[in-house]
Amino acid sequence: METGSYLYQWVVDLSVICSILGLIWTAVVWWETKKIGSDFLVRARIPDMVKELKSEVKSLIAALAEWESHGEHVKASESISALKGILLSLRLKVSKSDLKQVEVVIGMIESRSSFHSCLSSDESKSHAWRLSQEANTLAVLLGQLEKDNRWT
Amino acid sequence: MSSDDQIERLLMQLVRETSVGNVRWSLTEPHYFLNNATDDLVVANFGASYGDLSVGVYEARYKYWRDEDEFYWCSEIRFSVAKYDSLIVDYRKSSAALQQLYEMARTQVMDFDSLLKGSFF
Repeated sequence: METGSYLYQWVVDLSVICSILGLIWTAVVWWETKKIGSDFLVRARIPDMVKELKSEVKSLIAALAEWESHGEHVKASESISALKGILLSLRLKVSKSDLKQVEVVIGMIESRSSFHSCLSSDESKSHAWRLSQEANTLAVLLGQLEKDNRWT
Repeated sequence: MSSDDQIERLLMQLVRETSVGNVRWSLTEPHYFLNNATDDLVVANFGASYGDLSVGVYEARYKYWRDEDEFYWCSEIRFSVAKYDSLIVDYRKSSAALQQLYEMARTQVMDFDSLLKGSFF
């Protein structure tokens, strides 16, 4: 008791150790909550984005059908650009397993814009059909994911 | 490739063939088992023959059971494939391709081009 404290030295040591452990624990909890928070944000956003994606894919298919029957390709190009916007935003939100399909479609869109001008109209058209096929698959895939999320 | 994936591909192919004009859709009777031995009701069935298959897109009204004795009616677009009068596919995932195919079949059956008189207004 020569230091003027009422407590034993070992009690003081113990409390210091506890506070250090507490600090570490706080950091862990903070990190976990942050993760859960972002996870929830993704879950809350995904159904909305899937709906958007689906309607965009549908209008792309409609535009392609029009291209096929009337030879009008402006709408299809517009639709593909809009689709790219949605996909780029989606890329940051989906899990790793679905990311692959998102990247496939984005890759197809990008390869399109780089050599679009040197393709003949026919080639460009069938490329667009393949692209919309992949986009449709993606929309179906994410639709399933949305159903999975509902039960977890 | 899963079977769902293959059906989606078939749907896209049908959309393309329809837009080119290779597939003709018409109002047909739904397959027997689509509205028998089930509570589902078929609103409209558009059928076409594709190779030796007869494909159909239809809108069904079905009971969505919320609880044991509580339901409400829902509507859904579905896709069916029959071969030799047997129903072999009844696909119920409403994808973008399926929605679009239904719309195109309907537009073709309605035949808006001849229905709407350009000189009327």
